[in-house]
Amino acid sequence: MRTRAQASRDAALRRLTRVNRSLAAAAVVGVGVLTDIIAQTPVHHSHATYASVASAPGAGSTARSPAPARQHTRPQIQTNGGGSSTGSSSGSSSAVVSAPAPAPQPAPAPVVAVSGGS
Amino acid sequence: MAIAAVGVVSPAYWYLTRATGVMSLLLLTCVVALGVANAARLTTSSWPRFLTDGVHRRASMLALAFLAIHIITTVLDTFVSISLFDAVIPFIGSYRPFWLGLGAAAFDMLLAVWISSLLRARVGARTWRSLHWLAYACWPVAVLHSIGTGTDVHQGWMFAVYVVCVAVLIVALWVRLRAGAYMDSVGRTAVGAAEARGR
Repeated sequence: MRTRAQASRDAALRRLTRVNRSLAAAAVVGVGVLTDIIAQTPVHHSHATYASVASAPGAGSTARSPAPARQHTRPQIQTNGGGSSTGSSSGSSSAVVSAPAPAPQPAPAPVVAVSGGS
Repeated sequence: MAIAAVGVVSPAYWYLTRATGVMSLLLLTCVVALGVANAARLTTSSWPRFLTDGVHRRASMLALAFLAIHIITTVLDTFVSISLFDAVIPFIGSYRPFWLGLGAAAFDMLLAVWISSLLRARVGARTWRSLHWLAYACWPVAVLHSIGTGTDVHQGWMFAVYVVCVAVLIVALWVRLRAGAYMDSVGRTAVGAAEARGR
């Protein structure tokens, strides 16, 4: 026979389970949303910081080789469309398009697979 | 092999590192606020104290889980070489050693708090309580780590996250100090009454 105190305790426990589940779900969804926001946020200045640290001869002695390979500006989209594609690019895309010849890159092989990331 | 290839060229790890770092900071703020609410014995008729305690525990587990993902993705991201030791032992890494070391220190403090909570029955209430104060130290260290080495510090949404976290913690500290003063006054009254009775 359940007393009133037991019933209220059971109800509180059910509420605890519900709140905990909601918290976990909100955290997971929140990480997804944040990842999406971050993927769409251009952060060129920190790229430069990353690249300079990674390619610095003294400080980044343990940095691995493919430092300049991380480009989030999707070079495939910018090369095939002259002016109609992707309105998100303000200054950097024109710089990329106007560059007549690519700089001599020693290892261009893995860059092709980048576009599926975000 | 496919994972290694993704690790080399994809920025997914980097995105996940940043997202889980922000989420860990939000959850850590939530954990501290709930811990303060628990210590201050804030209850209502529909929200008993054990509910606050239960959500506090679950939020701390989630914060640790996302922190683990934050560390793992940082280590897996090959853009800058950060080893697992650099991420766990403070101030030994070559990449931004101070700011990264703050993050490692915050993680170590949170780990100490968590382990002492798991072993609460063995370590005793006094040791557990003194170790639990590390949670208050962990929060500003984590925020400094985020400001110092975070990529999104200059973004508007990240500024909003900082404002929310700081506001929540200021309110929590105010509640904690008020509750502490109230407890002190109650204790002093009880001691005074006991002394008066003894005379």
